[in-house]
Amino acid sequence: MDSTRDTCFSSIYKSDHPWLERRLQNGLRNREDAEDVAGETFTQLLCLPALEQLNEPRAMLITIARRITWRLWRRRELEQAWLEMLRLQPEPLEPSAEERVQTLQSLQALDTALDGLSSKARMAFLYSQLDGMTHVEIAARLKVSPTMVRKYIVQALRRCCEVLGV
Amino acid sequence: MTPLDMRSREAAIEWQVCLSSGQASDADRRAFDQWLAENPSHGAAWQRLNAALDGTLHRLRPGLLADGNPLRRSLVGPQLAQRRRLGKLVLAGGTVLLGAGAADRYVPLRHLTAGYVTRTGERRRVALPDGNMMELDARSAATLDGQYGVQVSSGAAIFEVAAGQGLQVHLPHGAVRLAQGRAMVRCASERSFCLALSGTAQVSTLAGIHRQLAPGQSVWFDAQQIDAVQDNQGYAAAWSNGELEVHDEPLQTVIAALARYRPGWLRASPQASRLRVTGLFPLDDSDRALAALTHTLPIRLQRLSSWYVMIDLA
Repeated sequence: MDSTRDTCFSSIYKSDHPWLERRLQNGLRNREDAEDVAGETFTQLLCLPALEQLNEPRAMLITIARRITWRLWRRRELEQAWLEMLRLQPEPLEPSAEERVQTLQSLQALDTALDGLSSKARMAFLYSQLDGMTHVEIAARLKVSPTMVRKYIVQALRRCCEVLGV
Repeated sequence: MTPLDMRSREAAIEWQVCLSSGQASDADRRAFDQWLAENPSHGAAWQRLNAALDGTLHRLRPGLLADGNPLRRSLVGPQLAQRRRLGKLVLAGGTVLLGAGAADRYVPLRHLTAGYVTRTGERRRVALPDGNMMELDARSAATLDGQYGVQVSSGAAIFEVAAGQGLQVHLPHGAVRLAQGRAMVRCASERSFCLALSGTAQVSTLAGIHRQLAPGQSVWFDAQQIDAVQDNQGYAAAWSNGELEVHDEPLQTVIAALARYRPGWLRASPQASRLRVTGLFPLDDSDRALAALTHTLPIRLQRLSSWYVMIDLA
């Protein structure tokens, strides 16, 4: 890291880190989360290519912080939904630590892949790949044409490949 | 990724969609085999696509994402609304409560570290190390706190305290001191509840207000203050016999109690929630309880699936 960049980062950190953390604390109502999100935000800021040319560091910080908070919420929401599923099983399930990690990784990958797709596209994909429904059945359920169902599934498969880097 | 790899990937996706469409013919399957054999990059792309599906869908326990379950709903649900909420949250400097709506459906994660957790529909009796007994209502969580203390962080519990050191029960909004006898506590989102069943109970709020309860008396309290003491409230502990007894309470109270015993979603519209209910309902057979409600109240049940029941005015 060259020295201009270094100075630039230090000055943003000094002037805006307390501000960001306060703001996050107000919004998140949780000090630890606020610290984590603020820390991760500055880490990501450091990776920006043209840090010196940043005109509105606070706007950028908010944008990054919002993205990180969103991910954090989704991760927790999925985890909670999954744990709730376990609770609802007729036979209590005690997943091993390994299964826990694996399941959460899979869920997050799946969630990231589905993120940005329409709700119908997500449903079409799961109906097809998980439930083994035919396109005609899915089309009837979602009230769209089978051609549309096909498009939805292609979109989702493409996203899966991208997310998993294949 | 080379242009050839990209084309192969697109073709692999097309094949995956074609073969799982339910309309693939034998000719399609032969064409697919031929495509695989044509070029090594085709086979590689097919394998990578399937690895991607393995990494997302197929590694999950079968049934985990069954249609209509909470996890599946969370995946297909409207994320945009939450994004908008998030936009407001960080920029407005925080008047919106974090994840309150979404998290409320599930038992909060922090309760998983609790020593004793009951699932939906489960009641459990636990012998505490000091010889006292604790019975947990469905969807409740409690942790031991020192030798003579218990923290109840969710749901409800009945304690039976033998003569001896007594028991200190910590709640989100205060604490209850039991010298001897039985008492019940319940945590709601903004208040806590204590009912003395036999023997006395000493309630203290976090702010340090105290009140002594005689058998049959109960109070609701928050961190600051204690509401008026109510007499003859023993029926509030009927859940320990698998029953729910209510005397002129809003339907919402009944729904909340039944929901602790019923997997899936059970909701009442705001109008229906306000109807007043008096009666005795079986907790362990929530279908029967719901049927009893429809016989006595001007309501109708909308069953979207066995998982999702909505109650509205008839």
